[in-house]
Amino acid sequence: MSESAGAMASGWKNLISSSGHSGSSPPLDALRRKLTKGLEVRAEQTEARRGDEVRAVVVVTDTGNIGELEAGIVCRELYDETVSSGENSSRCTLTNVEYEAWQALQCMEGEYAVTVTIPAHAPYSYAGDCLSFRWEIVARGRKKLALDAQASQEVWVRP
Amino acid sequence: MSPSFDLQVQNERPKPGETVSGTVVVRQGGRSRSLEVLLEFVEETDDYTEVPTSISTGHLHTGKLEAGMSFDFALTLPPDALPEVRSSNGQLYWRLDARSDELGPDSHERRRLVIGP
Repeated sequence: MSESAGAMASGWKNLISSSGHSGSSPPLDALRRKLTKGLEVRAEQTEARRGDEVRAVVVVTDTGNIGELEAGIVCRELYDETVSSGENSSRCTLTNVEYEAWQALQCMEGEYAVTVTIPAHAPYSYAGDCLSFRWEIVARGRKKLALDAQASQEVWVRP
Repeated sequence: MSPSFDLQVQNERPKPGETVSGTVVVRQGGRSRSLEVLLEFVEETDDYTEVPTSISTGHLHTGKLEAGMSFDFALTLPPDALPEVRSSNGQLYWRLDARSDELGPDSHERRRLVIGP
């Protein structure tokens, strides 16, 4: 496992739906997970506090179609906004990566222990009516010119 | 004419479970059906505001408000009150809202609170 880790806040946005958003994820992520085989991630705990470290195990059983492997933690913000299209406007839920930190893993069959840290001043998990925050431990295989492989597990982050 | 208020708060940095007390002073009198103070947890994005939690004093006064009237209030935060969060496109926070219920748009005087650890 590489020791290098990167953390960043991203301005990446994606439209989820024109209705409620609790527990939703971007459509491409849902497709990535559906198409992913041979990659799993299991967090050792499903609840944590801000500032905590969370341990997880990434399980690779098939390296054939995974690409460059990395694991990390992602906080996704889901927020409602009025989106206009021509003369019409509607209430839509958009998503933005509020925080993410990744570490590279060797792409070989086996189990890899990873530890990620939840920043002390990041948002906590929250499922609201117009604003929500969702935390996930994610393993992904980055591919050039193809949909990334992806596996994830939600972690509920308390304040 | 719509009434307006000054909202005086004794503890603007309360902790979960603590009581927030203060006084609503009527700055300008006007017609009102009732006056209450609300302690609200607010979700806010650029385009939308939702209030999933609202704790009311009940009616502090009913009927017309005269300048110089004042009303004391005390509201208690839930023991599990969530702290403030700001993100790229929204925020979560607590506020006090002195609200005069009126025929037509209500009058408000709001004050944001910071919840301590």
